[in-house]
Amino acid sequence: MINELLNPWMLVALAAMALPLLIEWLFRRRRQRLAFPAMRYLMNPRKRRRVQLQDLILLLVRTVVLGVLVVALARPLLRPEAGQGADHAPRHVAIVLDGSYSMGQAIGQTNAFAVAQTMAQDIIRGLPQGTVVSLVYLGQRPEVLLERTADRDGVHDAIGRTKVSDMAGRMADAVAAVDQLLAADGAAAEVYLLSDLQRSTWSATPEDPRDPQALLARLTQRHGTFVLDTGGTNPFNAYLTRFEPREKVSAVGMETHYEVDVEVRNMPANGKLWLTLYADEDKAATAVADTQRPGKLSTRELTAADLHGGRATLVLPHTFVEPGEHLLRVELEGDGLATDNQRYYLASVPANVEVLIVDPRHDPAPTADPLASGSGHLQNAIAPRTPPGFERLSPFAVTVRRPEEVLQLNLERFAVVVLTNLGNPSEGLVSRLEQYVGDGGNLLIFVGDAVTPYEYNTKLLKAGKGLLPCELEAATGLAPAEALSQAKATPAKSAELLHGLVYAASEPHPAVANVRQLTRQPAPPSVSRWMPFKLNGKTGEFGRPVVFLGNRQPLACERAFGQGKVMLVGTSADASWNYLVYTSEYLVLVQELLRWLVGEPDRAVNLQIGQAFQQPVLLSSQYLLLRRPDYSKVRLAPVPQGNLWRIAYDQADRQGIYEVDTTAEVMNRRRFVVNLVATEGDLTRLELEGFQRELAQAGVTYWGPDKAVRRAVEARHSIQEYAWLFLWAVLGLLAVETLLATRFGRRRI
Amino acid sequence: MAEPPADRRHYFDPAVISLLKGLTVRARRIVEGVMLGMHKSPFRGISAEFAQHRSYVPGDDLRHLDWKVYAKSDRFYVKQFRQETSLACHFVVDTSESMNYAGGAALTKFEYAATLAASFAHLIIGQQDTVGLTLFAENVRTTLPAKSTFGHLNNLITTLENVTATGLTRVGGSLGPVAGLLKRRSLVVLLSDFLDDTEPFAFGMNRLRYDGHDVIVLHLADPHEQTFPFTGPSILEGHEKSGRLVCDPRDLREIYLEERQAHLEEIKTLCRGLQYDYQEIATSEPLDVALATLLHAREALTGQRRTAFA
Repeated sequence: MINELLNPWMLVALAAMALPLLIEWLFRRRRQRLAFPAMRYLMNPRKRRRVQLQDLILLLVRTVVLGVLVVALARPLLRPEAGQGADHAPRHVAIVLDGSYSMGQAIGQTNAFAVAQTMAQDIIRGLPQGTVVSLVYLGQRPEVLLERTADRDGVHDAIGRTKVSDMAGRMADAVAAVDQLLAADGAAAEVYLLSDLQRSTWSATPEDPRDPQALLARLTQRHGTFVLDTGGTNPFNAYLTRFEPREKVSAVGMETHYEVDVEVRNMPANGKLWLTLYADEDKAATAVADTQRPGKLSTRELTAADLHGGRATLVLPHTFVEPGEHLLRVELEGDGLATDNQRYYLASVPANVEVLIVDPRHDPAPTADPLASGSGHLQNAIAPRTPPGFERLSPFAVTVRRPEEVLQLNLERFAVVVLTNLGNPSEGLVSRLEQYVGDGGNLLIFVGDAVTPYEYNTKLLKAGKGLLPCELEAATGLAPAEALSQAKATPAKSAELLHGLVYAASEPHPAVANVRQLTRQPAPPSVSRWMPFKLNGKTGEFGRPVVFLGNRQPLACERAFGQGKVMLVGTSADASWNYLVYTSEYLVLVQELLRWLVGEPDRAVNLQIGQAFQQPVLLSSQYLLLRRPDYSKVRLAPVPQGNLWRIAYDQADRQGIYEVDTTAEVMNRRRFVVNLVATEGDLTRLELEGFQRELAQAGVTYWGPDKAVRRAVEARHSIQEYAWLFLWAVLGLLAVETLLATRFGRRRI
Repeated sequence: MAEPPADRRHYFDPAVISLLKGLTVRARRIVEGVMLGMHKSPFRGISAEFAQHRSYVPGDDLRHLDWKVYAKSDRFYVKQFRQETSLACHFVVDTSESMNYAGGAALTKFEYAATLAASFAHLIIGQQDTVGLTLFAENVRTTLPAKSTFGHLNNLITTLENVTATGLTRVGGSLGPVAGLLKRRSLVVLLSDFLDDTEPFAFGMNRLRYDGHDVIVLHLADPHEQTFPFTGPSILEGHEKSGRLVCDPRDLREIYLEERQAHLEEIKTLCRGLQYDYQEIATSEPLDVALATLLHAREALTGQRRTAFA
């Protein structure tokens, strides 16, 4: 196919094709009149038609001769497979290398990305000298590695340096990026997209409704576009979508259950997978003999029978014996793509999760009876004593102080501060608590006889701006003993005197969602006296209810304050207002409330690709270096946020461990782990026939894995001049014209 | 017949003859040319011609015994002579519009035909034979019965001079009436360009054949009709309502010649089948050729069919 002319302006001379017609017309105008008697010999219509046809043939041949001559002078160039976007040479070629982690899938002895690299390098080898090349790499986001360079060796090396990303990419992003790149100069170009045609990469999603194929069709209107398939056969792939502890708050000595979600695609009937949990591999060099040995902890085998709808959840228990930050890793073996077969979890395991109880009636004497104070039962509920030989029951450790001692304490080391029946809190204490909670601390408040609603509403609620999540009203109900005796006397009124706890008005608050399941008993009527709440005020909603009484009165409510949370329980922490402290429900409830208040301390350091890492830092004017899993370093500058300084990093594009190069005094959590996006693990390819059909409709050329890319590109970009062919055609046509004219009796030389 | 000397050819050159006014003058000049050649003949006139010797057989008339031969060879031979009768010649001349064409010659086809007819009539009447004339176009226009007087010759020439070539050519339709006019077997000389269909013509010829007439067909053709030499884009306007054609004649020349040749072949085939003489004569050719054809035909006719041995 001829698609270029060296002298396209010569095509103007195609008007010369009208010369034979013009000459014919001029000659016909100058006709003479002749009287002739023997007209009968000229009136044979069949023969006259033959002559007219001969005239037409000769005219056509003469016209074509001129046309071919003009084309020959225009010097046609031939590019055998050239198509749209191949108008100028040297041209601009954009290569898009799909580096999403599905490209790590095995294809024979190599993998899809290596095939794509070879294809890309073949493209470069097949291009003529002087061709301008741009290289776009698609990881999580498209990245222009090289832009409009004629340095073929440089492009070759850049392709060789690329690696499979750990991220799920969107081909729509890559096509849009290429479109933008090519739009810079507006000239037609060629685009080669090298991909394994993974469905999740090439399909629109609810979050991103752009269809890559539609974008390609739009791109093809201006540029020649080729999709190069690296191949793949919907391989057996298993991948991990979740790895996290069931217990969000843990401590040394407590068994933690790590849940691992495995999704499996195209598993053969006899296929097997092995899931192994590793711990503290990063400490292997510094491990000491008396601590737990780092490395492999346990292995589970997984067969097709263990799967339900291609999914399985395995629970791997582990107990840490050392406090500190522990790196856990699960790895899956046995499938065709290893890239997505591991996940990390960075767990901060303290020796104890410290809880401070502020009890005005606390007696620090060693001989004092804890139950005589207002927090004895609470202490037992927070940190129950573990019998010898049993696993530790609670991660919490309790410190009890009187209110006046609190101001001398460093509250930052306490995960939760609990106020029990604290009446008339001082301004200093309130201020200290507000600072503590605002910086991320948590506050749990129990009321009692010493609590005056007016004082609390004044000092703690502050019309909704303070710590208190609701407006307190005067206490109601009877003391438990009196209520119990009246209930015995008049059983009909017992329901109005003693109330059980209800956790779900419509749907349970996450803080207490598991209480009923854990107690496995119906709620006993145990609360006889409580302090009603007003959850709304003139300034709007103060907080939201957590626990209700049987009479639908809210008993506990919570609110966020600054970076922390505050929970208010409308009854006492001891037995002065209820019998709850004597029930197992009390222990479970306290534990659950504390765990919810503590939250997920490791959440901020266990991220997925694309999520941002943020941590407060104790400096403001110094850059911090972040080490990435590929050993590259990134400089991070602290930015102010509120009254704190933070660093933030949102370019985590590789699975692994990231570490900020600083000390624990500057940053509390210096390390974080990044895991793969789960959806990329599905290696299912697009339905090839339908995809090819759509590409063909859009005018996009599809090259399969068996395509000889270099030869095809060479053929496409090779330029040969074919003027000689047209000159020979002119000579041939002239010979034909002479032959025909002689044969028809028109040769008049 | 002996070839006339070259210096006498101008007697017959149509270009020269065309300069002469009046058909009588033209005819006389041509006949003079012919007679000049005849003076060289060893025979006296054209009657009582010696034909051959044959062996004497008893009963033969002794008057015809050739004593000179006997004296030389001592054998008896008898001389034989041709016995001649008077020849009735009838000219049938086409006077259609197409005969009025002189594209590549000095004379129109009709002028050529009239000159030829007048010349031959002059010769024949001079030898006491009778000559008749029929002019036709779409049908018979004029008929002069065969006579041998010079006054009749004048009449005939006058008739030829006064006629105007016009109308369509209908050779076949005109031969029938001609056959009806001829009371005795005659030599019919048909002068035409034959731009007509062959079938009616064949019908008329068959009629003449049936009546026992001898026919000489002289097909007159202008040199342009023979070669179709026109060049350049032209509008060809035909005679006798034969149409109008815008063309480059060079493109149609081959077809023209093919068609014309086919038509001539048809006429020739017809004449050959009826054992009639056919001669195509270009009007640019000297008239002696045509005249010689006629004389040769007359001689052959009198020799083959009218010879009576004494």
